[in-house]
Amino acid sequence: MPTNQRATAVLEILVYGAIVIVCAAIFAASLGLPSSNREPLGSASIPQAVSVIIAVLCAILLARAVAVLRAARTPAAAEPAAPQSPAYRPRYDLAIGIFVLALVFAAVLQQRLVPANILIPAFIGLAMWMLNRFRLRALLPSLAIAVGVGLATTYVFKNFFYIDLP
Amino acid sequence: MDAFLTATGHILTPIPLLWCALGVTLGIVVGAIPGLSGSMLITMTVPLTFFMGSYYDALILLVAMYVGSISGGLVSATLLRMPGTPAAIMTTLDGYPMAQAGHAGRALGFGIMASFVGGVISWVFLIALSPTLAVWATYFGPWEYFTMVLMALVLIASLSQGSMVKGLLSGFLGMLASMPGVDNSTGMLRLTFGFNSWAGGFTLLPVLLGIFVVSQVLKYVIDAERPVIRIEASNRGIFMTLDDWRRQAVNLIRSSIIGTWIGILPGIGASIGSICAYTAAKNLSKTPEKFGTGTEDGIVASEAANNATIGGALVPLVTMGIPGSVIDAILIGALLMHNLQPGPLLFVTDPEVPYTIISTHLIANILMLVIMLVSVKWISKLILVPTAYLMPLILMFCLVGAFSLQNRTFDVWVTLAFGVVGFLLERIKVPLAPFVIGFILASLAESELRSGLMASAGSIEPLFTRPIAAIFLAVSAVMLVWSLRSEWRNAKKRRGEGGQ
Repeated sequence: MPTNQRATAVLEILVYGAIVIVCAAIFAASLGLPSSNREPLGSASIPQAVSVIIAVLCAILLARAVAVLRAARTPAAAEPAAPQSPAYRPRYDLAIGIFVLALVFAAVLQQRLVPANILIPAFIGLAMWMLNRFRLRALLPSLAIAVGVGLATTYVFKNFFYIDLP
Repeated sequence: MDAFLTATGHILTPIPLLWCALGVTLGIVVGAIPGLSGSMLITMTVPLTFFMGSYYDALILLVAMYVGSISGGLVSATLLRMPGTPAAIMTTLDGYPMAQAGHAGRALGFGIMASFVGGVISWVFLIALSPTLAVWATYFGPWEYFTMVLMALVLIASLSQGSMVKGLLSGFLGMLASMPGVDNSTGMLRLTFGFNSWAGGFTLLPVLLGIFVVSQVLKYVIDAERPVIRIEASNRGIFMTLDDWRRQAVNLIRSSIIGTWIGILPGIGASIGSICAYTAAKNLSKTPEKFGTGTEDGIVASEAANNATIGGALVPLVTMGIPGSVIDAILIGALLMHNLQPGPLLFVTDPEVPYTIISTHLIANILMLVIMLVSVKWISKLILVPTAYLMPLILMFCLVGAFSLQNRTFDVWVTLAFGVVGFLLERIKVPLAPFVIGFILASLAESELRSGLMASAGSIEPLFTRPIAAIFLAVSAVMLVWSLRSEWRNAKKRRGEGGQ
């Protein structure tokens, strides 16, 4: 069994597990909602029904994912597959990096720590340089685009779209 | 008729026409760049439309983007073997081999012409069916609407690629995500878990931005090093000859009708239409073995159908307020954000709105034809824009766009959170389209069910006694059983093959 199929099965188990926990929390939270006197449905019944349906669907999918993992343990499947040279290297590191940068951007925006005409170009420049693997030759174009686009868009956002940026 | 002429006249004035041309051009460019899609572009543009002078212009821009983005997908499908949009997936099968054989211009030409014909034929259905269907839809009561939403969810879950169970899971997750906040009918807060900022619920646009933009940016960054071989585009052979038209006439009409019909079915988008038309063309061809090796018939079937789904998908949107595809779901969101309630009454209260959508669809198709024929050579040079420079700009526009809605960072956090949700769901092959349809239709389903139950003193009997509601319910049940059965049989077959 190819490793990526096993990894997907593990990820599926984790995601469906998390969804079941969220559904349980929603079901529990909706139990505290009072029923309505005016109409038969109330506020709780639909969230409860939907969370139960989701939990059932997750249970089916969990069972399938576990079956895939079990199949991976059988001797035939455990035989090493012919080595396949990957066509390219998936860059999970860059995806995590840019997502963390986006979180920092949101946090700085929330706290209004830095004016937008610095924050936006800084975010664009850093993200571009990061996606260029911090290569020195990419620094200058990244900075140029970041400053040009960043300042222009900040000006437009604040003065034409009246967005309340810091 | 007056409303149609007024709307068309408005679009043909300079500023709206400029918005239309801009929308088509941006749509084509975005559609042509692999990894970017029409849903991303339209979602990112919706917040900016608040600052436009009128909502008519906003609709013109968004519908034009829709037409452009579906059409643009054929450029990268033909030159890179990577569909710019999922709708162009079948175009890769014949477009790329034809381009490889040195006929890139001809492949693009067939695709462009087929897109145009598909668009125009579906427009004929759109203008002919919409007013009649809108009148018919005014007779719908709460039970009809509730069962129609149910049918839309089941249809999209069963026909979206992959597993039916995963499609249903996605749809119900979307419904659940729309529930926190104030329950409109009882006025009570629900599922806020004590967070004050959740009281308003999750607004549609940040959810869409997360699901369609942030998750795609992450996916695109991960695949940044995927090698691509590009074939140079040329204008040689881009115009179809009379003989080509004669040979493709039946294929064009058949594929356009299939695309339009698939588009009309609630919730099903262009990629399914394209697959169905391609399969029909192959099955009915005298030379089916040529499909997949660079035949013009394959390109024509795929492109005519995927563009035809746009007109088809707009039918349930303008007549019933039900999305025919994911982009239609975003358009419904845009209408709601501009305080317009999509549905049959729109033809009565503000008929220029549906007719603006209808007219824009035609004019955008004409502009698409001109722009694509004139500039496809240059557009093809844009398809390899470096990810490293493009993605940060998209992410920034997305985050600031989310913030701009209500000038609050809560929406930015929601965008990022749903970005992770979308990314994870896509990683485990759970389709995202049902999530969005579920998110948008949940409140409609709940309020209609509530109204129906109140009218029938808590009885669900009208579900079975009202003919239209019963038909919708029966279709949903049949689709559900049929899809689950075929999924179970496929799984059994796979297990059998694995055991041998």
